[in-house]
Amino acid sequence: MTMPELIAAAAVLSLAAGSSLQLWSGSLAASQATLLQRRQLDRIEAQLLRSKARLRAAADQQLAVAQLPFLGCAQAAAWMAEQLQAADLGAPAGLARQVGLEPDAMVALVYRDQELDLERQRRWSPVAFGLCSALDFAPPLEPTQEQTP
Amino acid sequence: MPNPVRYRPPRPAEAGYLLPLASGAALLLLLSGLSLQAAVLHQRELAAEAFRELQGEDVLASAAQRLAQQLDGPYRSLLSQPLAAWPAAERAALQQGQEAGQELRLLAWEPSGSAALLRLALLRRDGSGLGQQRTFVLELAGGERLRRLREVGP
Repeated sequence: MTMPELIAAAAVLSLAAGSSLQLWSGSLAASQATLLQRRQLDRIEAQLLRSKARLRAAADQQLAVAQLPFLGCAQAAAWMAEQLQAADLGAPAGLARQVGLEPDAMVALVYRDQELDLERQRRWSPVAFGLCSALDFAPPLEPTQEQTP
Repeated sequence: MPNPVRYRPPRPAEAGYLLPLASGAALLLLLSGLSLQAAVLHQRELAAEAFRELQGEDVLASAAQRLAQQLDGPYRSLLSQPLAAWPAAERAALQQGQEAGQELRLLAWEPSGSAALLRLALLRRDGSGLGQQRTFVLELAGGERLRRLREVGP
């Protein structure tokens, strides 16, 4: 063993150790981010399923009272948006929930996590819940958006 | 008389073993880091694919709702006819659609008494054909009014 050899070996080893450490820490951080993303997506999925179930249950209650409980699809869509707004589903931290009413009497529910760059959105029509017939389509609604942080 | 410092050449057994040893260890360290990184990248790719699939499901489900609305409204006359029997103009209007910026195709509409089967597919963004598909069942009240839309599978 000579001194130059010792110095060269130490340099090679320390360079490799530094690079490896960077690779490990970067990989672990990325893995952690993927895990967080997956958990948040699971939460969003659960929220969407609960929202849909809530809408279905509320619609069935309305249908038990009358065959066509609303004057038109615009009114039915506004009622659906209210149901979604009022539903306290306990949105997880970091998740913004937005309920919107579209001009063609569709209700939009959007979940967004800006930090993790995730967004999912569903649109529902009152027609598909049996709440109205699109034939008695009322004049278009002004689009609205309400947001719950 | 002082003993002069003399260079002693290394013996063959100990000469140059440290650098190959350090290089081997360095290679192992780098390989372990790289293989971990490759595994994590693969994991991220799978997660991104799963996310895209969920967004595709959203698009298909929303498109089914919109189509239900159209079939209950301006295209009500098609409600009781299978897709193959639709007039060309109506078929052209409804078979291709767009939802949330994604192109869709209506693959099947098969009414049978109190229900109708609806099958939709996303068109791949690269134009290579059909992508994700979903089947829905629309329950009809009295055979002419939509009552409920259910997703029944891929």
